[in-house]
Amino acid sequence: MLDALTGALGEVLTPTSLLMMVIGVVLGFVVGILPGLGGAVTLALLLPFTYSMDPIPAFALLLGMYVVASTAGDITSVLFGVPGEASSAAVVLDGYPMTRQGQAGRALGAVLTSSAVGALVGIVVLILAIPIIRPVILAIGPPEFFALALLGLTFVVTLSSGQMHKGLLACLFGVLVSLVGLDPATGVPRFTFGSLDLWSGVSIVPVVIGLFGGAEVLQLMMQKGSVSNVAASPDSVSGVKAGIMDTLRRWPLAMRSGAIGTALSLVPGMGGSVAQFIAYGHAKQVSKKPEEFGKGSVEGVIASGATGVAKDCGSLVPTIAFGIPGSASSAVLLSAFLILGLNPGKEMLTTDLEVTMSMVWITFFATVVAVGAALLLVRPLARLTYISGPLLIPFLILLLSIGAYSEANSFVDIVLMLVFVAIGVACIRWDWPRVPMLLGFVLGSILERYLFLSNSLFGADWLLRPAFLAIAACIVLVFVSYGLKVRRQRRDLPTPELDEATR
Amino acid sequence: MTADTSSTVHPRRPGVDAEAVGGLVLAVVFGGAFWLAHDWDHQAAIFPLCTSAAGFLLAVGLVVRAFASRRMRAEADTPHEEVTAEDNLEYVFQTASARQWVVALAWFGGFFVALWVLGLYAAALVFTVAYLRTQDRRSWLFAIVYALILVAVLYGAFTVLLAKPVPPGYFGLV
Repeated sequence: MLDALTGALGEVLTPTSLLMMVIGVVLGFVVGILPGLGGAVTLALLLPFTYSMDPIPAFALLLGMYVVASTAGDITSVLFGVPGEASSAAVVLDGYPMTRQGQAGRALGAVLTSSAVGALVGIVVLILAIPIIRPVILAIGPPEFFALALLGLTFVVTLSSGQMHKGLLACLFGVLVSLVGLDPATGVPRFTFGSLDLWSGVSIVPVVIGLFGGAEVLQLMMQKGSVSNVAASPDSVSGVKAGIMDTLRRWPLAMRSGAIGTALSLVPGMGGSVAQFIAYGHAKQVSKKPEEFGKGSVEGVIASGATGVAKDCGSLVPTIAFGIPGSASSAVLLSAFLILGLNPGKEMLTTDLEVTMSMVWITFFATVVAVGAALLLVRPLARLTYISGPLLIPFLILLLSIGAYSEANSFVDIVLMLVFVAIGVACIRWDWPRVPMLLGFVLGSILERYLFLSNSLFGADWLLRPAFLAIAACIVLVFVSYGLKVRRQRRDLPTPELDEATR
Repeated sequence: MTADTSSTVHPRRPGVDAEAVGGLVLAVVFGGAFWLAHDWDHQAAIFPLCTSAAGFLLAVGLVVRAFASRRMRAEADTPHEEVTAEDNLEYVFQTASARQWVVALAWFGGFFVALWVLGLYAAALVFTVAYLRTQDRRSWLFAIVYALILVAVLYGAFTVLLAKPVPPGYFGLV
């Protein structure tokens, strides 16, 4: 394996591969920063260019673009509250409030460094997992996947900011929205109200852009100030070093979040949209200052940023080892394998191991180059947040529309985005948590799929599988510990302070 | 131009009515979803039925809790929560005047109507010039040059470089 790793390094460092990687990195930056241009779509657009290439330069182009898009997507999340990628949505929650407090440089420094730390974790997992993952993944069935998704849903407890009742309702509403469209098993149209456009369901992009980006633009319109509320000064624009140090000081959190991103992406169908919120919920759960989450907590930025590239590494494992894509982007990558004459599975782990290991190096180099370049650009990027609000509004409102439209080239997505703008504004105005809604939305269809598979394959017996019971016990523990925490605080504090304390 | 960041304290309206109304709206949504789902094939309906039933019960519970806490709050006469300028997004939405809401929503909605009618680039041009002239008091020259640059950047990125379709507008103007 070590031979394959060093051999792959030599192949990656050839001029052709390096040139392809640089092209991929530049494209990844553009794709990541522009909302709506998902990594999967751009991978598909790049596929024809790889037909005549050797496998390693081809993957240098594709993977270079793919992993950098995740990192670059965090930049617009922090600066303007509009996620460049759906998997950067959680970065908005604390990154954007930091920007509004004049700490854009610090937030970008933290998110980029945590992305690099997360990538390292993902790369190590990728190297270690390739030979051993097969028996592990095969031992996990739909009941365990269902339980894992349910465990993810329990993070509503921590993401509801002390408003459990409202959080659960918002979460269930998100689940309901995820069910819109044709039922995958029976083909029955559900909640489509006779519209053919809704048969394919509601995409995550208009939901995320509407819930988070739309409210920010409306606010800028009312306020007419700049994005950042603090007058521009050299101190407020810099702070990059402080952000980097924030992440380095909290390296265990960054590594744990990277591990969560990688581990969840190993499970086909879970995807990065889920991982970022689970990592965010975990960070809030273990934080000494959970009340700062959602108001500009650097820990929230670190946790959600660390899942960016880590989840890409994780989703590569089942793609390489079994030919099971973990996400839409991995599905496009899988087709690249087939175009280039590579067969996922045993061959990728034996005869083509060098190609597999080259992916590890490409991910590593692309992340280093992307993070390095982004850190150099942080200062000018952060200055953008001091531009007058009215000047930015036309630009931001156009990003919202293109972002929503580009996913399916449909105006219906723009209408859906506007519906979620209204819901997002109402949530802020009347103090309802938005994040549980998104968590319910990303997990809803996964829950239903695995529930259906579990019932079809095992009848009611799946409820007694040991791994399922173990995960179910964890779920019960989460609720019991929350109940005990509330009870303890109720005992210690006078009533008016209780709400604030549980946030 | 930065916003006022003073720590002025403003009373937040009692959240009880908002909770009750939010709960009622969601009860209607979940109730409607349950009613729609019960006609479907059993396999397609089971998960939506469970979700909507749970949502309906929780929403009704929230309404009951909101009314109960209103009575308790009235008896105790406790002060309402306060929100400061530091909670910026909430602060702006909670303290904005009706005029600010109408103006912002009119511009926001107006852009999307223009987008639907004129298509992306024409709408961008018209909206940018009109918005900068009226809301930011910029000169005609500045507004037009800014709008042209913005449209050129978008056209270069999405249409020329990436060959991505953009909203075409009712008349297919793009």
